[in-house]
Amino acid sequence: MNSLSLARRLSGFWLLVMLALMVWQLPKLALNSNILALFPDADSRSAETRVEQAFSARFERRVVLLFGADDEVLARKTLPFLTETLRQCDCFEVAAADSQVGLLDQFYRGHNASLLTKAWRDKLSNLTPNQLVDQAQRRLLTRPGGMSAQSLINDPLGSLSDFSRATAPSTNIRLDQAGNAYISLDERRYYVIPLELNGSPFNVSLQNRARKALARAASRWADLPGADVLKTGALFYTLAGTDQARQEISTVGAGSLLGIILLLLLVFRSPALLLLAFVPLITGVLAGLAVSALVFGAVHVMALVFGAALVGVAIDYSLHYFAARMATGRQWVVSEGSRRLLPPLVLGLATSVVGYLSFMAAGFPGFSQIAVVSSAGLVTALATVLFCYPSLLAKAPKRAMPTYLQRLVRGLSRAHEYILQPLARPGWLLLVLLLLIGWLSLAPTSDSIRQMQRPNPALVQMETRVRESLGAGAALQYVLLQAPSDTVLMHRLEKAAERLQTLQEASVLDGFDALTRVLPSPRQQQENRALWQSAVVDAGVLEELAQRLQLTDSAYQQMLDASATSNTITLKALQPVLMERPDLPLYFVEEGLHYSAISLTAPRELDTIKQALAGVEGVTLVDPVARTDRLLQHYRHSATGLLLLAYGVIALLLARRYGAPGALMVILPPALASAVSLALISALGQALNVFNMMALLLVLGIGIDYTLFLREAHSEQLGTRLAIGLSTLTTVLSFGLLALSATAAIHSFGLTVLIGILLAYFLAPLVVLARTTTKA
Amino acid sequence: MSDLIEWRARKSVVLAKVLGFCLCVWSCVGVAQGVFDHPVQAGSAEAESLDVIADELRQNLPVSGAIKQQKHLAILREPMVSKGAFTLAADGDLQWRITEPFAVAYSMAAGELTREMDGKSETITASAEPALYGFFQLFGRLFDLSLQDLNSYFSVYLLTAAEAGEHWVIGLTPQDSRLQKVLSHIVVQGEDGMIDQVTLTEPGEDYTVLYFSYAAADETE
Repeated sequence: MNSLSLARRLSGFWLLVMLALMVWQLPKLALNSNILALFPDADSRSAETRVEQAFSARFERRVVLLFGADDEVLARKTLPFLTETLRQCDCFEVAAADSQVGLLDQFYRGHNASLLTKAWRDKLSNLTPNQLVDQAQRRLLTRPGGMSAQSLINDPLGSLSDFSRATAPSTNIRLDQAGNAYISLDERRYYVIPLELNGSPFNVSLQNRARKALARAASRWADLPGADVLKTGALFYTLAGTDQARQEISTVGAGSLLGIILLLLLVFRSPALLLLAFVPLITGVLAGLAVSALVFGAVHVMALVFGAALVGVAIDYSLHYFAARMATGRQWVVSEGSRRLLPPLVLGLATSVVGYLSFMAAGFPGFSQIAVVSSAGLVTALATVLFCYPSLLAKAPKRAMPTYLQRLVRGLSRAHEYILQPLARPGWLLLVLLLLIGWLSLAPTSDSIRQMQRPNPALVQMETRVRESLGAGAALQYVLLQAPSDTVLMHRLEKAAERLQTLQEASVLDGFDALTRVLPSPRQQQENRALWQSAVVDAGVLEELAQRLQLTDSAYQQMLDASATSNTITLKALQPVLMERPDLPLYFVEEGLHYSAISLTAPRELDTIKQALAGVEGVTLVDPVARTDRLLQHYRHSATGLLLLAYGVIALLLARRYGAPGALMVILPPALASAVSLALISALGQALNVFNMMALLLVLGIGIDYTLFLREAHSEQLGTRLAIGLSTLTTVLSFGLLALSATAAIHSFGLTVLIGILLAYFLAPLVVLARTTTKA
Repeated sequence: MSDLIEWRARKSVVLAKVLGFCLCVWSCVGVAQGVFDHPVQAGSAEAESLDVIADELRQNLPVSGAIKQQKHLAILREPMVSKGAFTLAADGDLQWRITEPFAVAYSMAAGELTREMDGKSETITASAEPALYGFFQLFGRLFDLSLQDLNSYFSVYLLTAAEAGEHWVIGLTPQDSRLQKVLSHIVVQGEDGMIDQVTLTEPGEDYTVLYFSYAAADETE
């Protein structure tokens, strides 16, 4: 059995397996568009990870809708239909605004003495017992509707309800007479409907359901005069992201498809061949997605972009076949032609797959996905070519290659080589490559996530407007506290909160939210109790109040008992309440250490905050944005290392066939193309980022095919040149359009591939020229 | 002492201010309680009578008068009493000034509640003090007597002046379970387009009565 029929049998078997996989996996395909999902998050501290997971669970899933209209009465009547419409979608929970509010009040009952606000501590220290009784009496008597017996007994001075009120977050949300929450914005009433997503906002099917429900609600509202809907939440950014990705992928897909169709029709003049060319593309892309879905569960949009870009690589296999057949003309014998094409096709595939798979070594989830999508796709595309083409293209073409095309290809090749000839000095080229790499290592780089993933400005504007009107929201930065016990943690929290308070007064930040809001430290509680004992109990305030109000003896006794608790409230006791109230500051215990997070509102000078907190033990200011940027930088470095590794592995693989100098000459053109394109991009004033490096992987994969085919071409130069020329055009068509993307990451990627592939094509003949030069 | 601590913690203390049963209604207890035998159904003759009463009330806006509040609690030997005056404008804005035994003034304008005390004024939001805010909302709505509006929170009952004698009596029982925890029922009594008395009864024995009295029409102008 010769190698050709073995290859065909293997291909047939592979295609069967892939077909089964597609049927099984493709119906449940899910998409992920978070750029950070491309990268591992393993190197963040576990406590930080936990805090951020809690934060993102809290913030990511939150959606706030504001419905405004001119006629308040009509608006109020429409609201219930609106919530009903939204509730019908299994994508949302309509958040119950205040269902858990009573929890803390119950928890506080009986702890009047321990729980005093700063204002009350001042009052108890400064006012005479008589003044305190007067104030309490005034509060009880002048209250419209009066006080209930329970509040009189449990909170005779009103200090506890003041403390409880101070624990509520400040908000601009008001309630109308029907209990609907609203805010006033531009002198108009906007009704507030808070929702919670039932899953990640990145989940595409959830996005689609939510989009439909929101559209139904909005169209219902749109009937009202002066209807206006404002919305905020991560969901709207991910929706916009998905839309943009979808639109760009379809633009790129349509553009490249159209270009490729025209090109193939123009050159091969056969609709049948055109159809044949797309079979491996389709099987390749579908197989890539199916394998990725099997291995990773969800396919990342970036991997999908790569998958769509497979068109640019996989079409090369068909192009080589078609070009060889056309160039051979009437002398075409399928077995002979296939045998000649087999080594470069398989080698080309092997180098691409080795290149991609070497990225898996890094363990980056995104890169692994790209590697798997691309490798599986390419293997399947080639298997399709090897399995189908020999039987379908058995007949020699009716027409030989048109003379004008032959002349064009030969003329271009000659001109190409003429220009390139002076450059064909391997030693010099290697030196230039090393110098370029050296220069690039000094080129400016960018690792800012904010620059790479720039959100829709209209959404940001709306979000800012809503946020300002709703009251402050937490910033991404937060303060993480750690302590060996809950008591120490509370004391550290108190110290940190004091310093933040000072900074807030100096306008370094707008606000912060620490656990001290709902629970004073044990030391503070003890001081409060001592103050209460001396200023309220010992000074006879309660006795005097009871006398003035003519409280019954039993009620007086109850009042005394109600504030006599001498226990300190611990964090541990509060923990069950904290679990029920995710809006309160975070507290958790991990591996014997106690942690809490203070969220910050509009921190303006992070360095000042860091310095202010410097003296407090176990306190760190965490800046996830800066950390993500550091991660991106780390990945950029790793990607560079891995790219060099991929070149090394491929060189070793090729050295077996061509020897060390030969292998070096095969990889030199794509390597030079990569270095020069980076240098050009850098010279254009763009800072280099991790996505430029990822693009170079593709330049390696495709560029090395050019040199391999030229190297293996022997006497079939004409067909090979034609195929390579066409391949370059199709790649530019499919990737060049990515350079138009509004997402900086995809733009960087597309631009690098565009320049890199053109250069790789231009430099590819060096592999032949250098040989002839060396021989001569 | 333990028998003294027998009091059972009740749910939310907050909304509690809105209740009571009028002592003075004790005198006409039969009539006041009888009101709950006369539910008002939409479209019925009672509903029409209610609309007539509501129209009279609205026609008398703006209205000013004196207030006397008596809070009867089982734990007090004597009720807590306060006095003052109020003004309700046609657009629903309300001034509520307590003058005895301490001076505190509340005003509700365009949905914003402010309190003035010791020369300082502070805004009270619904979320900070729901009970207080709720009280003023309820008060404004009583003088407006929109059946539709009331119906969404309360079951409405009515004894017309013809049935009850001198005054009409309106009974309200809350439908909302949260409101039910702090408010058992409300009885409103009035005549000639004026409300004379409002009684808010808590679940249990405690209740609050608000008496309203009006100077002659020419004086209030």
